Amino acid sequence: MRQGRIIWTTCSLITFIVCLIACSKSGTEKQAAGTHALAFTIPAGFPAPVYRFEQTNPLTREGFELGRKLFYDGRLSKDGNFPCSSCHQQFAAFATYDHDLSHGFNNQFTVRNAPALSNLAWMPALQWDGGINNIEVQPLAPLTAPNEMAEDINTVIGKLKKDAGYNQLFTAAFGKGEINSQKMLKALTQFVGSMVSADAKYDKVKRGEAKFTAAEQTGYALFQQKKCAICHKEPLFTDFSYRNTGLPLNPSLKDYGRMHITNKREDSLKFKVPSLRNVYLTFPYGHDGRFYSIEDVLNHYSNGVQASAMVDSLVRNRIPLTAEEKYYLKSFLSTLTDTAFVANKSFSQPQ
Amino acid sequence: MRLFRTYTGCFVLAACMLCACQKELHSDTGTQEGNFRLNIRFDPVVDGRPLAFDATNTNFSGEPYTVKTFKFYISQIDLSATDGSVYRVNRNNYYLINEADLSSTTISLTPPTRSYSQLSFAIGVDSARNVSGAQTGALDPANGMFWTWNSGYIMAKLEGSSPLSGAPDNRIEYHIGGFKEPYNVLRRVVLPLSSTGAVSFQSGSTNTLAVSANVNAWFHEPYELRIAKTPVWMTPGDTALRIAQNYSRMFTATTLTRNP
Repeated sequence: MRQGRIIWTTCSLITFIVCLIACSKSGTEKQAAGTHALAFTIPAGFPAPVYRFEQTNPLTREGFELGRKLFYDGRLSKDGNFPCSSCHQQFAAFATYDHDLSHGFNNQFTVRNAPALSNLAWMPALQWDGGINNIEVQPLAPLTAPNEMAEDINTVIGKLKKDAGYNQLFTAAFGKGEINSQKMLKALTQFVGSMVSADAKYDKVKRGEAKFTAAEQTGYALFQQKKCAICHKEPLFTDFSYRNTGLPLNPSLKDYGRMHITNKREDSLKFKVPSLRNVYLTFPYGHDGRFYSIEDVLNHYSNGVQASAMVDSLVRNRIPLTAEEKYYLKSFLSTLTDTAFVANKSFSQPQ
Repeated sequence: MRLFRTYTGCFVLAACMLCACQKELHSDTGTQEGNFRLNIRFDPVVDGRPLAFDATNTNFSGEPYTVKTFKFYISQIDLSATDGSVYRVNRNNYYLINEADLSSTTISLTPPTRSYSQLSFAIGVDSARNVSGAQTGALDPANGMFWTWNSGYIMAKLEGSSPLSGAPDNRIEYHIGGFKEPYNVLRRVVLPLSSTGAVSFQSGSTNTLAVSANVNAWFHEPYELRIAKTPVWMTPGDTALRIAQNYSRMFTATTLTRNP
């Protein structure tokens, strides 16, 4: 019996390897020669990710390191001042610390609050309005937006081609051949897609390695009772839906959210439910950063929602919260801070 | 016995998985290639006359305009033979025709020697490719045919100017795309080759089929597109669908040239 199991395992493994080789010949991406495979570990309790590195973009140390260098390189922007990391700062869980709107090229503001970056491989769509359907093409939006990095794709590729260091790094990651936008985007995806945050106190409690305090436990129960958990669904703390939470339109930004993408009236003022992971580090909140603190957000749901037929039924009648309940909820939300993630040196600026 | 069953199980599993891979291999290789060369050249015209970039044209509504950019994607090419067989060009082949760049206006195919009666193709990029992440070659977003804020390919692009446009610098800009229903602008074009007078090809020969692309078709039939009212359109939706309906009728197979 045991022997059979070993044979099965061996056979399965061989089959798997044979198929990997066979499939890789059929045009799907295969890991470049001489690269070192990196494992993408799915945290316990997480669903299967939407983005599958193994299918189109094999994760390697070389690809990851190239993506990391690109993420921190100002040359991806027109004037050199706006690398990806200018709006996505690690100490703010890769949001922009203390800024409602971020700053871009030529003293301009962005129109939305920079989202925190983590667990992106699970996101079916990117952006507050879900306009971007694949993590690989996400960097093109800030890169080409005139009020963000303000660059042109061809110009960036030209700059990278002229750099001997980048030529070496691209060859190391993807083999010989010209630098192109596809390789740049796949490398960036390897880096940002690897940013998995799943080591907060909440996760440790779930794994049986820690215990909530009484206040945190009460807050966790309230998080369910008050139906926060429907939209901010565990373990990713978002259900990836788009909802109108009763925020009046900011007339100077004129941002109608999801409607810009779908052209549907019913999507007016709907925005993506953001993950609450690391929420204590990602203030201000909301698609335009109009709430400075978690207290402000809770006050909005408690007594600020501007009711209308368009507002999501879960919050239309508001979610009245006492001062005590807010305290407990905040206690629970503080357990979503993943200090190991924000201190992880492999995501920091390369030296 | 049990061991035998285990081995058999492994073998079946391996065979199944290999077959799954094989299937993918086949779809990648496309239809069997033949031994004569057919070049399909897309010629930009205005109602039968060659298009002169930056010269003034007049559309059906009598509106003057000039053209600076005229680009579109061609994919899913089929050549139907009189014997009922179809030469299907590899579905992973996408061609970006930039009418301002002569080197990009010809698609070179090597179908088998037969008598062909019909050419068909899609204008645009299928929905699957629109959601498949970073692409390269004709689909490289650096070609300026990709929307970065609402992921998806611009299937066809017409840019220029008109004194009737109220946009900055009197610009006219039609960036037509959208792959999600009900706003999927991918259109299939079917062109009979009989008008070219010759449909059979000799083995080893080179032939050039000229297909004209009439810019004026963008503005007329079945929908009237008035520059004065809509000088710019660059989002998916109803208007994009209408313009795509118009330009899907812009092609005509005009001449076939044989080079022995």
